[in-house]
Amino acid sequence: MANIEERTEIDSLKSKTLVTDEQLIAKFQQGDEYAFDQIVRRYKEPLLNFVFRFIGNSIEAEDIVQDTFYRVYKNKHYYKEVAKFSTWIYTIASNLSKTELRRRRRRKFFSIHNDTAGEKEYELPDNKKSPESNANSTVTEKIIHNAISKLPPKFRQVIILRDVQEFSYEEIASIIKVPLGTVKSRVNRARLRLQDDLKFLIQDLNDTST
Amino acid sequence: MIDCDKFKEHVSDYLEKQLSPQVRSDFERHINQCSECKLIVEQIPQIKSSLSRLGKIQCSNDFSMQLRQRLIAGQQKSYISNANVKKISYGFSFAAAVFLLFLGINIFSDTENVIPQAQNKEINSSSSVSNQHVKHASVETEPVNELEVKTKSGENTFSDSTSEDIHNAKNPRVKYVDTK
Repeated sequence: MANIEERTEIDSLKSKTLVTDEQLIAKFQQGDEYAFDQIVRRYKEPLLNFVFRFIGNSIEAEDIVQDTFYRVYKNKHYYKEVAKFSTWIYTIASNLSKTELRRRRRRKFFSIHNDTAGEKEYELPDNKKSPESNANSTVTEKIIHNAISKLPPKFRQVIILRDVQEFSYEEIASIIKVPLGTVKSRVNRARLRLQDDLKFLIQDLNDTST
Repeated sequence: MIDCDKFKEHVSDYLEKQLSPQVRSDFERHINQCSECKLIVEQIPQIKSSLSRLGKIQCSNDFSMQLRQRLIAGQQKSYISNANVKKISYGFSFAAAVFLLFLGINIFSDTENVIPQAQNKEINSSSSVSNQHVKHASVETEPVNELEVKTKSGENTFSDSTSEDIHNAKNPRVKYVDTK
């Protein structure tokens, strides 16, 4: 009896995972609100981490992610199945993040004090590890995060999408609406800059591990 | 043979195995000769894996609730804006109705004044006839006889007559003569 219940649960999970994003948005376009909830559940964490790495502040990142879902909700009929849903939703999040960065730049320009949200202390993700390893990884993460933050936005955006979120070059080109060659070139240059910035950290990490 | 700049430009292609076998072997030859490029090739994959292992942050517990509230607020806002649009359109249609009403009244009052206007027209036409006389009038200057211009002493002087001519030319004595 328990086995049957377990199997039905797995089957239902399977059927849930088998539903593609495009099928979900199609259902939502037909008025199925539950499909929208599923989209939110699927995308809230990946989007939050993308926006967080891009703008560097978790509270503002969450606000942007909420705004992204709000726009998806409001403009659901604008989505056409010619593009992948993931690239569409990431385009919205990316544009909102860029708008936030521009707003910050303006604030910084007009403000006497330079204590903008972009320069707040890095907020650490809650990793449940031993205190010592947690401290080491935290420092490493902080250095890597700062190195990413120092990149110009156009390089930061592509390196997060490629090496953190693991999108293909084609998908990134579709998200940020630039040619494939430009994406590849930006990713390459971002990697070189990060390598230049982090070479001593990597060397240290290699030394401690050997 | 490739240099460091060329190598750096295509290092990601090299690491992702996007180069042709010939170019790839050129790159490998360069790596064996250049310590800086060798370090780049060794470290970029490590950085890449560090980036993919970066800690993930979680959404706050009330994320869904806040989103729901935002959606409801957005719907209300759009409902209010729709209501405002309706109000504005009602206002415009009322203003248009008032304008049309005034226009109608004006037209109606104009039709009432058709007869007096016709009478006015007649009066105007008679006055226009008298004006025509003026229109057809030609300008004629009074001839001035040089010989009649005399000085007090009774002698004709050439200089006086020329000065008189100049005066007449400047200020002609004009009279209207009806040609009809």
